[in-house]
Amino acid sequence: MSFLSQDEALLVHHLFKEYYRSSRGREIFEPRFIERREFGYMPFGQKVLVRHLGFKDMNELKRAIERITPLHVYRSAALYHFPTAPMGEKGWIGAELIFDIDADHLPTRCKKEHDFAYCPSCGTILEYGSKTCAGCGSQEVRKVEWVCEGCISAARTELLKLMDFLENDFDIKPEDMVISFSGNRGYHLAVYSDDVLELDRVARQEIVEYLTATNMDISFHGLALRSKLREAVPDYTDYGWRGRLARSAYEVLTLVRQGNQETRDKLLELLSEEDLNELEEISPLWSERARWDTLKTKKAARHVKQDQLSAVIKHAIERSIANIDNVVTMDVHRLLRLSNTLNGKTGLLAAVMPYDQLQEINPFEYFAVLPEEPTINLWVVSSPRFSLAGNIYGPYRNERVKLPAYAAAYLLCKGVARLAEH
Amino acid sequence: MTVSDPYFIERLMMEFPFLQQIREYVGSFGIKLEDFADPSMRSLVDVAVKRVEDSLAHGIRAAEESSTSPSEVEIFSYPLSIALVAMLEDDYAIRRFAASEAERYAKILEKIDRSSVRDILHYVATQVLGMRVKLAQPPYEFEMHFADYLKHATRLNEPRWKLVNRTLKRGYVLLTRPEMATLIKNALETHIEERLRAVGRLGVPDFLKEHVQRLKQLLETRRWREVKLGERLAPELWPPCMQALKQRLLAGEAVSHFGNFTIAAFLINIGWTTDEIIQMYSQRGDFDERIARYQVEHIAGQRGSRTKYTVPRCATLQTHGLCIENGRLCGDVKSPMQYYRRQARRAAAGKRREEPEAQTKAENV
Ligand code: SF4
Ligand SMILES: [Zn+2]
Ligand SMILES: [Zn+2]
Repeated sequence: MSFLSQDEALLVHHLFKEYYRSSRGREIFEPRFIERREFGYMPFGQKVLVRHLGFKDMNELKRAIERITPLHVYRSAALYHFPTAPMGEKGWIGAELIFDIDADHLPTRCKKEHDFAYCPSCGTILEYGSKTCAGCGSQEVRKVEWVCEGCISAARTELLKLMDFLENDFDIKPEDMVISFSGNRGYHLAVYSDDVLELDRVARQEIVEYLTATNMDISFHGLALRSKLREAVPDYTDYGWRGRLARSAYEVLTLVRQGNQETRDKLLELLSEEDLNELEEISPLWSERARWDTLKTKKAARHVKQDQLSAVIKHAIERSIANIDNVVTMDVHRLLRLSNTLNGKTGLLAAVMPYDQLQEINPFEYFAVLPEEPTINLWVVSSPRFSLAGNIYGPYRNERVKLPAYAAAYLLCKGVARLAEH
Repeated sequence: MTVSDPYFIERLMMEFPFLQQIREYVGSFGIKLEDFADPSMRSLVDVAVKRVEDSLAHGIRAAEESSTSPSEVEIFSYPLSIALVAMLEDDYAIRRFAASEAERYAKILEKIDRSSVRDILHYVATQVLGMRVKLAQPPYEFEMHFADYLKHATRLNEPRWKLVNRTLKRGYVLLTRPEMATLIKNALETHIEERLRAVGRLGVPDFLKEHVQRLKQLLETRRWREVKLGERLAPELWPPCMQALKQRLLAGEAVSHFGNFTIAAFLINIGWTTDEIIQMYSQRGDFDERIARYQVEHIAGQRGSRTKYTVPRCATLQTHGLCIENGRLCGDVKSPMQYYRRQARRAAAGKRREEPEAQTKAENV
């Protein structure tokens, strides 16, 4: 945990407890077959995961959460005959198919701007990744990973791509999935239809590879790089990856034509300037159907970094994949944050998201659920500008500030502030 | 000919004796196990024993000599064959019998005339194997629900079976006819194995004692040969990842839960006994026999679920950072077991001319 000292932890623990006692705090998400699940939690004050717990029903679980008031609450994606037995003896029945999308895994540009490190002993702000303090030489440098709206919207883009795969390729119905804000940097999605429950590890790995185009051989989708293209090339209305490849390639060409800098830069890593410029003329030809034959293949390309066809395909694939955390999806014994509980890294609610409002809901606005009162005096070491519950705070640097409880908890959980004397 | 055609159903039953219907068909003649004791049933018993014998001795090659249109004798003897395999009480016998039977049905399917094979494959997939399968538009012939597909296709190693290389249409994987036939064969094998396991223990009646005894001997000889082929490959010939894991274990280094699982599953699959594995673990300082035994037996399928665990594939080992040099030392293998079998074949080719049989579910298309 990342509180600067016991005092900060105690205060946030108290705020969490008040929350779980409130009526909103009692609206904890009820996983199906609760009595077949393993639960676990991370307490305030110790860095140990208490697991192998089981609960008969929601009331029992709520009472425990209120009594213990953990920093983090987890539940298994799996169903077991004996959820509280040691790992090998639980008797695995099946597991939801779960996905974790975390901005931390995404190559966002903002990361560089807002992640940092600092030295708790002298207060020097350091570059992210520094091991020793430049001010006093201390080795106890703390890393701070910030999350901004850019991070969340990048994660949301990945979530929407994932959902497109799940709904269209896998035919998973919205009512068979639960989507939640993780309470920090991303989203969780759990599919609990019977179809997926019994999938083993290898089957889940196959699904992961499908979503990330890992081990894809495009010749199986009607595209061959070397030889002449055969007739059944992928087109826009095709199912699965075929259609996705065609639509995404057209998008890439359109972006090139529109002079989109990011796309051009990406392609320039693979293509000569000349080959890239030629692409501008191509996109209109694609308006009715995917004209793969208009892209130069290996043989025809003159300045061979790569040929147009493979460069466009490569970029089209990159844009289409869903950036998920592979390990989470493949793990059939995984513990997952229980939705509608507080995330101890931020004090925000890891809330279930209504399916039809994913795009509109800004988690920072809606899920700062701790109260405003009391206002709390803090000494903030460093914090970028951030917005919570519709208000904007910061930036702060080595200064004393007075904040509403939810915003204070946010900074305390992140370990960038300490309580200040009155 | 359509599926509802009575002739069609009858023919299917003749060719697929494990079908629900044939059990009723045979059942309607009121045959019980004891009835086979009657001297007049002698030929049936012989056929049943021969079938088991062939499959144990020759594995999937036994299927090649089998006839395509079984006689009544063969059909009526089938339940007895099942009973005999159950009496052997041996998982290896079950797997071998299932593999050769599945192969036999695959051969039959290949020979069915083109006009009706589509209906038959569809019938077997949906009615016998309980798969969600639909007929598709050309150039494909079938669509199979992805969950059913993954259950069977993940055993097939070629890239084209990977889900990422398939067209997924609203939850269904598009398949050609030969692909469907391959998946059905694999599914049949699993299905027959499951059915054999479901029979459970059967007492051996007097008139079969001698036969069962002989089959058990045959099984032992067979097993001994396979074990000799597979078991004693020196660790230098193991896949690099497994050599490394073993060394780390012996050196007392920390090995992740997944690493422990992997090496144990590997050792079990190459024929080490639980005791031998425990013996190896006992050389570590932090050894706790009770826990080690429990875990190993669990992985070996001697406890709980009885699912025997397979060795994770290379891709999985890579994800966990256990693959050595990204597989550069391994040629083009998909799993450490594939590497091991290749080494075993090479080693055996040196010693013995007879070609070892593949242990995996074979592909045919
Ligand atoms: S390629 Fe496979 S067998 Fe070879 S070291 Fe890597 S994981 Fe092991
Ligand atoms: Zn310092
Ligand atoms: Zn950001």
